[in-house]
Amino acid sequence: MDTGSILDPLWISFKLAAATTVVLLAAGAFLAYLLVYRKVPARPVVESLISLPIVLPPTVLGFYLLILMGPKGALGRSWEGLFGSSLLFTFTGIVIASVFHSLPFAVQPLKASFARIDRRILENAHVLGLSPFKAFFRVVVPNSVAGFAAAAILVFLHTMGEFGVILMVGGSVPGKTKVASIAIFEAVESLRYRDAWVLSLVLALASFSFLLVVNALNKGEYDGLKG
Amino acid sequence: MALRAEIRKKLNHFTLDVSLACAGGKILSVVGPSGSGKTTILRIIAGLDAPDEGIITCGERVWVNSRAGTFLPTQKRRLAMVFQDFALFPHLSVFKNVCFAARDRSLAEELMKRFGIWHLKDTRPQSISGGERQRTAICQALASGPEVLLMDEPFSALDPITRRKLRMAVAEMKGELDIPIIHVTHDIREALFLGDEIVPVVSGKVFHKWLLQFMLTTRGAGMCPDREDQGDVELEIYDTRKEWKR
Amino acid sequence: MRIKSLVFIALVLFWGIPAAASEGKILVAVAANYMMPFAEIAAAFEKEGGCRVEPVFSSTGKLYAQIINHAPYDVFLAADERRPALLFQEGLCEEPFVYARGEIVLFSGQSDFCSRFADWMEAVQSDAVRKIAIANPETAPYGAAAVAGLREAGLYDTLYDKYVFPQDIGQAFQYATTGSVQAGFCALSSAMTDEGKKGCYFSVKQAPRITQAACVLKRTQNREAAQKFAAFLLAQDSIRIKEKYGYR
Repeated sequence: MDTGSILDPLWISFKLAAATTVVLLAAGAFLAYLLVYRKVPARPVVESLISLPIVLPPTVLGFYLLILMGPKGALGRSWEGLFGSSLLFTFTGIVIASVFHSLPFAVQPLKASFARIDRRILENAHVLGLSPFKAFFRVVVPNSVAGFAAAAILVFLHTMGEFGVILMVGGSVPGKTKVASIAIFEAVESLRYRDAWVLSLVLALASFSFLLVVNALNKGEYDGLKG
Repeated sequence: MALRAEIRKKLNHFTLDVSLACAGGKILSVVGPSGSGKTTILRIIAGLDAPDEGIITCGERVWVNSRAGTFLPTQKRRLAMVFQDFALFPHLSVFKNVCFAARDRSLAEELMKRFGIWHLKDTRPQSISGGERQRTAICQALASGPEVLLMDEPFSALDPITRRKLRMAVAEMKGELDIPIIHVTHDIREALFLGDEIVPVVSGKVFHKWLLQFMLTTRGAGMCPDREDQGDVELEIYDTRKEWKR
Repeated sequence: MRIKSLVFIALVLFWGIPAAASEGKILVAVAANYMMPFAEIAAAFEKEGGCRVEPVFSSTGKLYAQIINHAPYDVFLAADERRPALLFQEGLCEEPFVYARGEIVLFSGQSDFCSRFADWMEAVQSDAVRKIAIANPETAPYGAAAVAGLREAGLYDTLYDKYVFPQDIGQAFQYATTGSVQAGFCALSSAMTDEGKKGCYFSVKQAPRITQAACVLKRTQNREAAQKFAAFLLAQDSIRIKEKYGYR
């Protein structure tokens, strides 16, 4: 058994999940903030679009992204104009795809957690001289720790287990875009059942221990916030 | 420095239409039954709501001028507000709450000692009593060095003894601060005790005749500022108003 | 791992195709590259008085995994010789036979692509070709043939950074037609479809022919019809059809 064929995909899955989580906590917080605190034109349309990846088959999303990020697509073309390289079949490409795919898993918990914050403490922050931008970091963020934690867990684990979208736009390049779930799929197909077993077990154990740690932390968090 | 406000705003059941002025070092008490638009007046002065029409100035500075389209955002008005039922930050200790917008920490400490909450400095606001929270809110507001102080029913959620103590403390503060303080209450005794000027508001309008009527009733005449040992009188105010209308 | 995909794989592997072969009908597992000729061959078979033929198209590796887990197929048309041979060894099928020889080509979705280069080797080495699709060589025999061709030409390692590995030859063709890659190693039969005619292709002489073997599965409930169909795969009508699609 080749250890690289086991470790590389796991490492890429982990990197992908971590990068997607970082990007989505920022982007998700921004979107959730707009949806909770600002007037958003055509709100039902925007909210439905954000939730779409939950109900859409990953292959459909993957197909759209393949077109969008391809050399003829808007995103692919502007990326190529900016950086001179193609977006498809690269690590950056699968990060972007995962960001779209996991968007609702970041926005929904953050939205719920922002909406739970007492409006008056935000008003008080403005009264005390904080701009909306500063108030977001000094009041909204520290009072949404549980929401950020929930968003991070969901996005991280959802990305670790992502399959259909990456199958479409990743191209399974070893060492770059071949993530664990795809390596498992390929191992099963090429009858390398031992590799499939090892990879699946590591992935399952990693996800489980991650959840365990986060749940333990989260419990402490709730105790700390309780009045 | 004086605060002047002329405000008109259409609300659900009536139109709010008031004109107020409060000089530095004075307390203006807006008194009226619940649902009379008092809180909306404060929110408009704070910039948390916008009037349909109106002019609000603080000294030379124009906060709102609906004709000129001026609207200064809340955070630039340099005011502070003590909210009804408190609006403290649950993620910060009492001391950090008071320091939230404080110019310097020694002022925060001094205020907390003066209001008797220094021993609570490391406690979260969720685990202290209502009176202590309200003191924290007042310290937080004063520590920010505001040019105008707004207080929305600051003592209504407290027990009579705490209420009396805090009223005294605020009355003492007013001379030192030298800023306009606008105070909103449904409790006429509180208005009589704290207010240098009293503006009675009913259904969104200044209604001096109503106050006069209230003062003339035997119950009202008996309400001296220093005899505030009985309970709430909101119901009485309401009844008097009905009699007046009849 | 996504629960949905796990459940899906489990269902496909262990329960296979819901409709089991029944009277007067055979279920045939067909490697995806043979989709176009198969539809015509099945129609011709039915017209000549054979029973109804229902195809299931997938990659050879996936179909193989289904068969060893007792999927109710009657005949298996693989894209290689290895998997039918393995099934034969395990006693799951009757003796395999070669039914077609396929060929890989370097296909591009751009119609002017082939006029810009002398041959496929010049094309893949050009800077204009930044990404090349090769069906996963582990599971797709056509991908393995492409890799063998590249090795034969001494180009495999130097071009490694350009490779993208779609799951099967169908996805390789899809990447090439959508322009996601500038060129891809595809089945000649794909290049000869209507969609394929919008692009162009170079033949790859260095790559081995792909010998595709078929076999009648021992589990069949309809042995007579299955054998009749297997024989029809080598009849004149079938040969004419497969040659039309670039098979020999």
